[in-house]
Amino acid sequence: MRKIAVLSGKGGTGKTTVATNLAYSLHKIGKKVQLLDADAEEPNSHIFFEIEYTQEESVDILIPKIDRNVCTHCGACAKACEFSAISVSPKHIMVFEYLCHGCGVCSMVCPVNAISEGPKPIGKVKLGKTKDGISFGEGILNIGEPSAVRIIRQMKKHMDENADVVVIDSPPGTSCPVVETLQDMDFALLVTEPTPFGLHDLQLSVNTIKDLNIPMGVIINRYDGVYTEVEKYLESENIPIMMKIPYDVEIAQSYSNGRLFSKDKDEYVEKFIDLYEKVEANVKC
Amino acid sequence: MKIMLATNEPTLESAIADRFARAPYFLIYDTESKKFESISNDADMAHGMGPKAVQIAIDNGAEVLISALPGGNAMEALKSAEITVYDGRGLKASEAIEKFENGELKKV
Repeated sequence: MRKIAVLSGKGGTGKTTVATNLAYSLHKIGKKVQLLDADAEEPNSHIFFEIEYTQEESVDILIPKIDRNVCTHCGACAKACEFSAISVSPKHIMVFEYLCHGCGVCSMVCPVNAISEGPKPIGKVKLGKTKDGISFGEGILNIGEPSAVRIIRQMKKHMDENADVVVIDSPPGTSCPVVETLQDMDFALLVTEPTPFGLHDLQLSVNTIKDLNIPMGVIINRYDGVYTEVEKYLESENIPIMMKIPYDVEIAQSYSNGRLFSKDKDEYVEKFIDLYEKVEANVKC
Repeated sequence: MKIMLATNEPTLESAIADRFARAPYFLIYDTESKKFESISNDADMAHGMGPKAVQIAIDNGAEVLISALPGGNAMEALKSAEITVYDGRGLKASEAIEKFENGELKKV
């Protein structure tokens, strides 16, 4: 099983475009593919496919339940909580559920065992198949919840051991959900655009991936040959350019209509397969 | 009685800060001794600053808070801790204390 994460520092560079077209192209040549959408705050890979969902599970965190008859208001829990999710005053104690990360330290430090833990749903994982037969999964974070990390962790437990290739569409940025997405991945496929903004956020991503010690390569999307700083940077960093997707009105039209451009423009299936072969060549053996 | 003031600087001449939980300093003022101590608000979290600041008030025995308008989480924690909040916007800390003692400050 080959595990590829598609990510970018900047939003809107084409992560989902690359992940979905790569998954489709691999499926088209007979590979057993699984596509997982880890962008749990706004999962939208499903828009490019018709998904038949077959399974749905809740993602819960354990939050503190206070036994107010036992609590002595010593404040040990409030001191221990890294996220200020518990407030203790001489007469009262309150839990801020949205601030709680579910680590359980409060129940561990309570000297009188006044704190037990109970589940609270923060989102869900949905699994199914696309109409073409690509295995599909997505994480969905409930509105107002602060972190998608546990959603992504639970979704990744459903990685198909029998798949030839698992493609994960990552959230943007370089924070905890992205790091969670990158855990145990064989290759990080970065998508950027040839603009100063694309370059700036690409550099953030590159530094994150270096820390995680995962082999990486870059796709430049909407490439028009005008702004060449991205290429200069990648050359200086010795990071391979895996693919350039041109700034092309037909690609933009396919995307705008919620269609895969490699389906509309057949020659791109081959280009995405070339991309996959480059990934294989760059993965640590 | 102890009053907590959320301020820009660690002095009584400082203006009340524009924000409660992210104020640079908290002053704990004792109305009996007329003395105060300042606490530097070094925390910088994306979430949870409100309850954290309220916990500082609780831990220092403040019964009154004078600040800009606290956020939702902070207000819940303040209510639960039975700390009364007064609107100190536009005032210096020393002016706010005087007005509070004369009963001229508005409750939030």
